[in-house]
Amino acid sequence: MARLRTADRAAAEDLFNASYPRLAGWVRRLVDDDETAHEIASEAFTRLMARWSGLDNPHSYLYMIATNLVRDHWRKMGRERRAIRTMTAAAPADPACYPAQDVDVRALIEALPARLRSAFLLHYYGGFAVREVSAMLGRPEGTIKADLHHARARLKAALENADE
Amino acid sequence: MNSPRDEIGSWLDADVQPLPPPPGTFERVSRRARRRKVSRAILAGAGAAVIVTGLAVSPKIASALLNRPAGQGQSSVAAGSTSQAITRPPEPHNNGTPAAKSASHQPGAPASLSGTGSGDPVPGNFRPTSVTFVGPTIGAVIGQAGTPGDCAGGPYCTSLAGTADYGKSWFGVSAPATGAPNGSSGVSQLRFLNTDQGFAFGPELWTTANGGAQWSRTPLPAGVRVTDLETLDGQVFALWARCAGRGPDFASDCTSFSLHTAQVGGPWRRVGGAVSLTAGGTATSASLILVGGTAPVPADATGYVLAPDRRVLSGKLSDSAWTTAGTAPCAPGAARPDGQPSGGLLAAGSGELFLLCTDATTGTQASPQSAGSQVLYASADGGKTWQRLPAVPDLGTPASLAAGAGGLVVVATSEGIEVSRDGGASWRVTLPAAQGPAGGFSYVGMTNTSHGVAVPAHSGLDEIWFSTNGGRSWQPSPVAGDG
Repeated sequence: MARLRTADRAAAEDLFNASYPRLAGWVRRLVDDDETAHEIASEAFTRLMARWSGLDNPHSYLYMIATNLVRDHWRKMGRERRAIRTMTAAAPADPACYPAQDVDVRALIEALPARLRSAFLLHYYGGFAVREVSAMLGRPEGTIKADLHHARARLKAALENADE
Repeated sequence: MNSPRDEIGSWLDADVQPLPPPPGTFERVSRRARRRKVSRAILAGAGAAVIVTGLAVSPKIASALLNRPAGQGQSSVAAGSTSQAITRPPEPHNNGTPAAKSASHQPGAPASLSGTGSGDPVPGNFRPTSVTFVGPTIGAVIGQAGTPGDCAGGPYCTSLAGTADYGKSWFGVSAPATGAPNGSSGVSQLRFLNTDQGFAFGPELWTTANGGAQWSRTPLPAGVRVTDLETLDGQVFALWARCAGRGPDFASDCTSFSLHTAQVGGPWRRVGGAVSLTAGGTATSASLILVGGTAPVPADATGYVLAPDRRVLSGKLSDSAWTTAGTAPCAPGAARPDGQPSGGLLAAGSGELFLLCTDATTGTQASPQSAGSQVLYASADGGKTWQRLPAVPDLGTPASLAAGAGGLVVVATSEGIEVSRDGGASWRVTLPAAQGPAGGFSYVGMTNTSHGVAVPAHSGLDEIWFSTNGGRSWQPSPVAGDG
């Protein structure tokens, strides 16, 4: 048990080779640097392979893990930014610390309620069908559709406010 | 200036640029995964040691559950219930439909929940959807296993696995001859009253009187589905609903609920005062809990229903009709795939009811909640009045609530498990997302104040999570049993 069985290892390696580059690139759009993207992608594969047996859709599980890890990273970064602001008694953190061009939309997604954010990321960004997201999150398809609608409405309203 | 829609759309439409792994990444990931598997095995071993210790100090309880002849009134504790139940000897069902075999059930082998050590293997690729426990060590899970469309040579992949050592090991148990939930057909949930009397439901209703060796389908009126069911004191109560949900969402689009009950082996009847429960035409859900009476007054066993219109109905189990006790602070809201509410999660502790109102009630007719908020309420008078508690669990989206004696309240969420030991006044994360299954849990139940079980939300995981220390720590148990 301490070692992945040969067939499982081969299957895991195939999945790794096929999925890692896109998963890491997917994460990269949501974090600030390549190193963090690699850390999250590697951790997602580690957790997947640590419970390899029995998964009928490891690809979806992989993206679920990555979504959770990105969320944890956002929380950690938020805490650090708040700590820096407190220490320096300065105005809001320097936006220049976000080099990515996606920062505005990304920050708004980060601010979505967890229920809406997971569905939004997995469907619109991860490319999973509503039915797949429904199975991944354990919520009815109708609820997922409503969550996606509300998420987009909130993003749209937030962007409109930002433009004013 | 781009329009907001363009900005969101262009962000979503932008291609993901693949990021190749640095050299040696797969080998590094493989090593880390192996180390974690070993760590999990060690933790599971430690958990087993705790269970053995528990048996050593309570041998009378263990021997009674394991050795009592089938059907001789045993204590029963459904996961999620806090009560003990004494049952009458069951009436044997001579007209039972031959049970479907679990995906790899061995013909001729005993296939009973009480058939400890029968030798039946657990079907492979087991995807559990519901768990129930009969006492502190004996329990069963139901789910789908094997290869869809070709399970044990047949079309049905619904399977059961039992355990007699609180998840340390599992054995195969025969299952109802039906499939996964698909509109009005199939089953996904499981309750056992004792080691013999069992119920598989959601949306169909099946019963067994011999620990799963044989299952019989209970005919339901046209258009009716069973969305919730609990057992106590030799009785079974179930919510029958009229729903239009398709596919796996059997409990969605339900518009009317009625409470039904039956004595062990007896016919079903409607419970007066708890029929035609609706939310004014809006699709909704409802939930049911049963609470055992106190030791000197076992007849005080009481049931509660959170109705679609926020009413809390209650009644003694022996009452022919239930009455409205009060109005809950939030509606149950839309149903989750397992039939349970997503908006108002109800649980019973010792002398208190708890109701966690989540942001999923947003947009429902009767909810005052705003998106992103969740509020915990307690009622010490059986649902007549509710007090808002100052603290709430804040770890992800709540999915299931359980409570026990001594102020124990447990919530399972999309990210992990949080526990309160002071009646909801303060909370502690005992299973953070980093240590639990991705996607969190769909269900948590406490069989007593120390033993708890939780079902992962992700349907592809073949494991149930267990706690033997009042929810302070949790360990997974692979139902497939291969570690």
